[in-house]
Amino acid sequence: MNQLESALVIALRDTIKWESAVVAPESGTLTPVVPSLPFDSVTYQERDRQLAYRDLILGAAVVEVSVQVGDVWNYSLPRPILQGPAPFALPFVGTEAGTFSSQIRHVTNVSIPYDAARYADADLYGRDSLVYEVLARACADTFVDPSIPQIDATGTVIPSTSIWSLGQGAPLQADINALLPLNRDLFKNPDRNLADRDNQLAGYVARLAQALKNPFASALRLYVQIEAFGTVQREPDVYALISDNGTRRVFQTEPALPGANQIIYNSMANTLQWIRERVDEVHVPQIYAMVIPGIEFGQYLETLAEVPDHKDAQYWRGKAGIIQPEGIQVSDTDIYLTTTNNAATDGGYTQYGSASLTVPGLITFTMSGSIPPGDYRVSVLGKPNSTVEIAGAQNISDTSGTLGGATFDINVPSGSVANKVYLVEHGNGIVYNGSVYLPGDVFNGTTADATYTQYGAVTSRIRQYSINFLLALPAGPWTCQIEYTNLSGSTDSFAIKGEYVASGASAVPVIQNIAPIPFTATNGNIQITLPANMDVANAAPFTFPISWTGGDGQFHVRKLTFQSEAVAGRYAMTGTFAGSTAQVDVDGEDKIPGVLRWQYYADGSVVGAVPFSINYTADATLPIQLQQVQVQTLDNYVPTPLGQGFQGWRKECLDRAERSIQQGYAMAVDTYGTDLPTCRINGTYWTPEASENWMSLVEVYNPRVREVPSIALDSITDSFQYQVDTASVVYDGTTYFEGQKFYGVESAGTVYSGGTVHQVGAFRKSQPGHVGLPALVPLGLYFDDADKFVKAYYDSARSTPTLMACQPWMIEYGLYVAQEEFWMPETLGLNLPSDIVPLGYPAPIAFFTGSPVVGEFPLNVSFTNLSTGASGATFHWDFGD
Amino acid sequence: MNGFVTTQRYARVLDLPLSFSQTELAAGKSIRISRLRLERFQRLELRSLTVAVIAILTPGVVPAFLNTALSLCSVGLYRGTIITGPLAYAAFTNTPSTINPFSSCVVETPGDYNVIVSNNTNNTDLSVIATGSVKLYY
Repeated sequence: MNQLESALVIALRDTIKWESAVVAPESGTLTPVVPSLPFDSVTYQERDRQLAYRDLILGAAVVEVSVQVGDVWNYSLPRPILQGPAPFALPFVGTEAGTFSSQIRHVTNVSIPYDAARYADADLYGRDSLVYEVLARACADTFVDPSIPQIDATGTVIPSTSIWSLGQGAPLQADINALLPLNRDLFKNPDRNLADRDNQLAGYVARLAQALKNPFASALRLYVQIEAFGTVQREPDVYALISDNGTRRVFQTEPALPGANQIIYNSMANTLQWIRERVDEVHVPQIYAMVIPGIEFGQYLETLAEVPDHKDAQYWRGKAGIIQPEGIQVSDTDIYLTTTNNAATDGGYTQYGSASLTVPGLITFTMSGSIPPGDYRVSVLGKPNSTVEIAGAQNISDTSGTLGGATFDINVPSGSVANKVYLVEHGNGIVYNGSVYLPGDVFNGTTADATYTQYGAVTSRIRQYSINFLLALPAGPWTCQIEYTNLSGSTDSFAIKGEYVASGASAVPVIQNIAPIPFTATNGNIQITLPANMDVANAAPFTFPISWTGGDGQFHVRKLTFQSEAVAGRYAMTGTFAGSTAQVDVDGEDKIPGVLRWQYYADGSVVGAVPFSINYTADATLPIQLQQVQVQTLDNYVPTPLGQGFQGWRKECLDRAERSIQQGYAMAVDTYGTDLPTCRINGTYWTPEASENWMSLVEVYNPRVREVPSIALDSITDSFQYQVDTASVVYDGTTYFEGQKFYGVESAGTVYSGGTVHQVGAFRKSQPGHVGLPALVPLGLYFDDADKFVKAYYDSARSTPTLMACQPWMIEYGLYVAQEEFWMPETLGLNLPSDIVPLGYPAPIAFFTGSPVVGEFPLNVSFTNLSTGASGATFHWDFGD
Repeated sequence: MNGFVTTQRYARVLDLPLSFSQTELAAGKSIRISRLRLERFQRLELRSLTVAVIAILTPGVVPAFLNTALSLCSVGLYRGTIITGPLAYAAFTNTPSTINPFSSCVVETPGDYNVIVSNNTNNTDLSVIATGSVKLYY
């Protein structure tokens, strides 16, 4: 920097007095003196007063910069007291200035009055311009957002020169007065006073410029940002001065944490040194600069000359991750199912939206992934539900249709006969597979013979007659309803027959075709039949054929709904995982989600596909949906060196993240104003989609809240951060490798290529193992126990993000939980509890009780062996004395 | 409400003890020791929860667990009845167990919350105590 290096030692006064200053023109010009006009001392007086005012502007600029230095580096530089409001941007006109040096050509005894304007005023004007510009250039070189503007940004008028504080000056507070004798001192004394003011201001500016040139010498705080390969790796850290022995000034991030990152400034050698958290990584001292290389290749540490914006939640996640407390940790694996109505599920009955066990039976979830030996927790989000919803397409008649429904085939042409049941209409009948079927006949088609021929002269048509469902329900009274529609043609009703056919028993009509079901909606819109009663004889599987017997159009079954009056159920289940079994025996309430949890010790590895089986043995009362599955590991934290005991630090980081999110949300609400989008559905109801919409609102001013996996190749968003999952990706012409992060930039577009990335965020979508962990929930969201639905009491404006313990219904509704870095150990201490090793071959844990423990001699004590993991072991007893 | 603990605010912070004195808990049984109804605008913070087995009352058996994830006996805060899904819990293994006091469990959604002590075996009667503390902001 080419700013002033020093100033002569002068005593700085604490005030640049107002004196007789008058406001100078904003144009920057002084009141002109025209020598050809009659002499008027008031003009000279006015010019001096305007110059005095310019000094006040300069004083305000000094204060402004001093305040900015204090904001950034947290130390206070001397600054003059202002005696009144003044702007801090000094106007400047190059032609007004005389010299830009220490010289002031004061008037002498032989001068004419005009010299006071030609030389002295011009020099004073040039001096204050120079002092101001030196300060402005120092700010421009240092600050990202300088507090005062430059007046000669190109540097073409005002030279780059070191400044001084020796203009011939004295504090005289003199003024040109027409009543006084017209002599040298009349002009010189006011100018000397002005020169003295400039000297004072030059002294202030000298101090400021020194501080700006090397903030490490006096800073009490540094903002440091780490960059690698041109990308910001972490948001700025605050480093506070923790010691200063006159030579070494030590700044440390998070002063409360021992061994945290440090920056050391050596004031003798003028060097900076960075010590990273692990004490064996010390950087060679560098000549100080605002940016120095870091320990790793491509890494830079930048000292920010600005107060960073407020921190987002991801920042606090990074902070929390610095500390690993001691205890038992539960960690997520990449083995999970977020939906179960898919090919990963085998067994049970697939319902609308999820797998289910409607009655005792076996179900297996096969998840991709591999696990080494160890302790595992498997959690399943279960929802006991007296409503059993079967999608139309879940039939056993090979019939599918739009939106998961089943569409009855009509006017089936020859060549398209499938494994379905058909009805012959009109004409003289058909010949199929060697048999004659007359109008009204029903026959079973087969794909082995897809063709049929007409039997007589009058053409017949065939259409699908029925679809069949296979299901099991707990014994007892149920109702059945069909959600249906018409997909083509027009009709005002359908004649539909639904039957309950228990194994080996006769069909029992449930829905009668005597009374047609009306269809009064637009084609494609769903209508629902009235509830029809049925008695389920036992929990064995039964079939439920639905037959079309009349009505034009094309019948479509979207969903079958069975409903019982059961309100509670018991679920005794044996879970098998990695060769081990574990038990669950719980009670559930209708439509209230809960988490079923099993814990295992896997004594061998499982590679490729990890199956988890549930054998539901009791009781056949209330069906249960099994919506999500998650596998977690149980292990010890390996605590950060010297980090033990800082359990509360993670909670503190989480609290700060919450505050940060709340601030951002309030900003978004203010910004949207009356255009704030609603997140509720149909009044007060809430859905998983509403959760996503609300999170989008949360992220308007908090772009790193939500982790989103597998970002589409054209969906990079400005200001969001992404991390590379594959070997590399290319964005904005730069290749990023696995694990590296980059920000979306508006000018770089939305497209990346060469691999996949995920959006970085401090919160992830909740899974069954996350129950009890901190979840981000809209204030006022609640589970309505009467309606068994989730509702939002407030709309968006007051749906402030709030952290609270994750409840099972929050998982079902797709709310987000804090990432693992924020979690506490579930159990403190370093020993695994014995309960997580119920089977397998862990080390035995000796456990005995004895009674009585008090009594008279001789005392017979009975010991009970409660040891675990000691099957077949022999015991050595030692009672001491 | 401001950030200071004033007498006005203090009057609306309630510390509720949870206390389950030494009680025989038969095999497979659970007892609800507290029911906390949280209304709208209220906030519940579970500060501590501890369970201890004083004595095994059924001698000579190896405990068989009903819920292997919950060990011999446990105490937990629940929304609903499925006992393997606690919002916070402490499970007794060989020594008295307590929740991690640095990880307070905060609840702000209205509803009925239960603190349940359960004997997780199907063959062993236990003598159990449980204690805890809840802070209720209302």
